[in-house]
Amino acid sequence: MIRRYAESDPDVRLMLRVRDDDAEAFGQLVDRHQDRLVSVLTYQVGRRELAEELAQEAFLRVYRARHRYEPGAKFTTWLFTIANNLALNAKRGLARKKEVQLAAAAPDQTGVAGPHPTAASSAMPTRLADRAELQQAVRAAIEGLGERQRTAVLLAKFQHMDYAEIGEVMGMSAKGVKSLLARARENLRVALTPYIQRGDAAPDSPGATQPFAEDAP
Amino acid sequence: MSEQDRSATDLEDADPLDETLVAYLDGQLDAQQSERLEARLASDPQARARLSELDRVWNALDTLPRHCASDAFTRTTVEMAAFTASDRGDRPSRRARWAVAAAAGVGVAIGALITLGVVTGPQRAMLADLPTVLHADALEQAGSVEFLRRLGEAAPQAAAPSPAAREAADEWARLESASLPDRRAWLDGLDPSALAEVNDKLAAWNGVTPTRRDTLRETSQELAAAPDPQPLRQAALAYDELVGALPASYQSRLRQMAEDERLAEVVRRGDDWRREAALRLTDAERGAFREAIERIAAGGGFKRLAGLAESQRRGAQRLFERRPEVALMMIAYGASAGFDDRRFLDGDRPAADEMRRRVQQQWAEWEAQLTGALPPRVQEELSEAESDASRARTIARLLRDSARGDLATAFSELDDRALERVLLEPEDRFLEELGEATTFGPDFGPPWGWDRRGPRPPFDRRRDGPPGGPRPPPSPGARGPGAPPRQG
Repeated sequence: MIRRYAESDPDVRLMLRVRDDDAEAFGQLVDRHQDRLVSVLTYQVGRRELAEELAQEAFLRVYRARHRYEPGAKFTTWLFTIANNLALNAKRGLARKKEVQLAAAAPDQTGVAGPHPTAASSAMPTRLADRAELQQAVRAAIEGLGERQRTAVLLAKFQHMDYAEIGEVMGMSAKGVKSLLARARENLRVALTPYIQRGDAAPDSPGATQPFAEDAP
Repeated sequence: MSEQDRSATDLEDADPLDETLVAYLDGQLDAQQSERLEARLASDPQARARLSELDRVWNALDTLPRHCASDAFTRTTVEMAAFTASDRGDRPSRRARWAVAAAAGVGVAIGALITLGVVTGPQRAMLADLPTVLHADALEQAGSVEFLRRLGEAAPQAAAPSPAAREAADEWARLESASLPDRRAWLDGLDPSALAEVNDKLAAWNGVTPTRRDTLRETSQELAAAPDPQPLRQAALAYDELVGALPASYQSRLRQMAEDERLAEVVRRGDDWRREAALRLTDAERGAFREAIERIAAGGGFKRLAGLAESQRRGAQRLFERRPEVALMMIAYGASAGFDDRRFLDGDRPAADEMRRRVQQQWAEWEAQLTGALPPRVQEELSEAESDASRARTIARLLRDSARGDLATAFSELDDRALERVLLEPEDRFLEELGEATTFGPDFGPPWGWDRRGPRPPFDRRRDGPPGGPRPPPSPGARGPGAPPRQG
């Protein structure tokens, strides 16, 4: 049973090699998940550099625990559970620091090139410029969510996790996740509908319902 | 809202219908629940609208930029891990020490343990994606291999490659079949400007969502696996050339269309698009065209006409001097209307007659000069014109494009308030307005109607138009020579 599972999941295959101190397998595992982990963490903690540090720490914790590894839950659930705990700790630490320092936040700490609509329209390739304004609105909407809603949305969207997996990462029931995501999506809907009704979302989501399908020329 | 308030609202119950709709979209309902919901959706338009809204919002999240770990991420992480492995104590939180050790060179020694394959992972992935990355635009425009196949049958003209597209398709095929080291060698052999172009495409590729990248990869693979990949590649590039010159909003609308609808659109409008594309000058071609304009502007005939024009309309002389291409454009439109359009020459009758006579005398010579400076494909378009009038109108259009081509000049001529206003517009509208504002200058309002276009730019009514999204551009044939000019 376990063998079949290991064969079907490349992460488990790699992790079993990591358990046997295979550095290359560990490298491949890092390679596979680093971008998504850094993405989710960046939106969670709001700082790109910190996100990368936390991602690294999460991988190192996986590595340190390798000898105790047994193929069971999905590898990504494990990795993101570690990362989520690290992010929560880090945010608590940041909040404490803020109380002391009251440092002015940089306008954009996520490290993403924040595309101002004007910069976008003059310099970016057309198809990218289409998206710049919406992108900014989406970022603002995500930042406007509560911490738990945001985490659930990020895991669902970036990591394609189902409710049970998200629940495992966040320490809640699948039912709780269902409700949390419904609320999050209602909040996003309120924040983004004005942009989407203009049709801005369409260029990048050809699979989406066509908003103006009835208006064909 | 404070973090605490947010946490409190997190825990409130969501609307039960919302919850079900969201779970449905997330594929988290079982078969029975799905069936129940689908039955309700069939009879409840409000729920349907709600579902589609939630779906669109969720899809909008795909525009969110994904972050990539820095290039050294894998290497440093593996080095740190290897260092822990050698540190038997496995004590927690020694990262600072590892970092110092790595910096001191310990890490380099450990780095040697890592196979080359791991270190160059990202680069390998990039090389593997290279053919897709380079043609992501064309693949995105086409949408699917099936579309390209049908395009070849339904609109062979639109799928017929230009010599450049044919060459690019050959290169695409070579790159597709090349091994990764050969692709690397190909990159190394590129000249700096070609390499910069590749890098731009890579940057654009990295800005695309992973889901989108996966879709493009799949299309690319499907194309490569087709029994007849070469005509399909040519069709993809030809189609991209054809629609790539259309307004961005129209392009995105095309991409959203169902395949049948899009094919019908190509069949219906393809010829117009092709003509439009043929008339679009490259920078070098525009340069040659401008030189011809300058030569005409330096001639005595043009200068005498400027003086005469001033008596017709105040500020005209200044326009002739500063923007000869605009003056010529107006003359060309005049020629297309037989020089008796009252908006071209009105006012004092004898002076107007005198000017009309002079312009008529000069026009043939100027037209020849302008035509001679154009590239062969445009000359061919002009020689195929149905009448002198339609030829003059095409030249007027080229003059108009040339007048509007130089955005740097356009920027410098706008005052701050105008600049601020146009900068806040979406890109298509912004270019349009920038063109209008500077083509005619502050004291010479745009003579709408001269070029047989509507009183407002026809594209991009996204902001203030009806909720129908952007409209397709008018076909140039739609308002022919006989159509009445619109009121400006």
